[in-house]
Amino acid sequence: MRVDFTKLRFLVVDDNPFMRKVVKALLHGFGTREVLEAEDGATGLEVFMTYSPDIILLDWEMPILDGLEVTRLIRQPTTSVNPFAPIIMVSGHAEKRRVIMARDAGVNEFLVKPISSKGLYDRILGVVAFPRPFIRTKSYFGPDRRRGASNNYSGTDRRKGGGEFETIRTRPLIEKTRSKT
Amino acid sequence: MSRHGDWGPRPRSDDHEDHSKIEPVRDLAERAITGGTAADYERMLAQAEMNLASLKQEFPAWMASELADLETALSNYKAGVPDGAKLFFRKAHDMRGQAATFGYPLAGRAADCLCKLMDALEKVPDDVIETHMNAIRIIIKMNINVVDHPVGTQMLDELEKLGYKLIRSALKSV
Repeated sequence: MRVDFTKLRFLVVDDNPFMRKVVKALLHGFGTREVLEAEDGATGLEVFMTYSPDIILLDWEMPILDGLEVTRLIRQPTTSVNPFAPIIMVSGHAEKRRVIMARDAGVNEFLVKPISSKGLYDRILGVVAFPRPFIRTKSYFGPDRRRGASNNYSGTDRRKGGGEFETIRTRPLIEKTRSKT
Repeated sequence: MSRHGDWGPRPRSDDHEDHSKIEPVRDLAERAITGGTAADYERMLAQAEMNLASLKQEFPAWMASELADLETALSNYKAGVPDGAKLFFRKAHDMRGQAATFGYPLAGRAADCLCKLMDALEKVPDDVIETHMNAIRIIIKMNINVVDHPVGTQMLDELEKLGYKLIRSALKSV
């Protein structure tokens, strides 16, 4: 199994032009043709709303809107063009506390800088081939933060209800892209 | 546009007391996952690494530019410019994330230590900031671009000892 990168459109949001160049070089190396760029969170959001990229690679520390704020806005079910869009946060923050903050904002994957081709490829493969279910609660909308069932958990069940899926059909991104051009 | 935007209809039902679990539509997988061998995967990674290597000659100039930005942010912070601390942290954070990618792993370590201190302490003493800045300056200006440079490593070990000591005392005083 491999990812055909010619079929995917990426958005790279990072305030550092050198880092954008590095990420673009890796993506083009994988075979990507379409890479959109933005140098701050607000521009990134605007590009996202206009061009509906398939996957977003998002820095954390940025001017105007930071990566967490952008993630929360993309995950707004009532206003976002695609609240399910896969978000990979690419950040220098490696502390557990920060990773949990990003997870709670709704990112799919977290990649700590320095980035490697393998690290980036594996995160992309993860969001494309093995998308996690989304969870909607009063205070959260985003990928399921539980990556697997734990047999050792002995606390109270914080999430009430059964384990059945509720399916929401979404318009394939490719159709949306075509209708805009 | 529906209440849920233009990405789909409303959920059919809320089966659970306090949450909905939504199965993702696998349109990306259907579109972009193809068969391939381990050799295809290796070839793809090798091409990406080659692209990255082609940028390597630009890395020293990029790092010099990053250092200049960090120096400006430090001057603004010292001058009490509004949001100066936040902007200095952001530039130090950039340095810790990017330095290793740009071939200066020890500069990344020094910036990482500085960021951890700024994260943990209400105010990092000026001399401690300066010590970290000096380490970063030396590493970049002397083009120390290997992770196991003997003098560089020793300097970083000392710097991190200092950092952890300050963070430990700050935690004890809370």
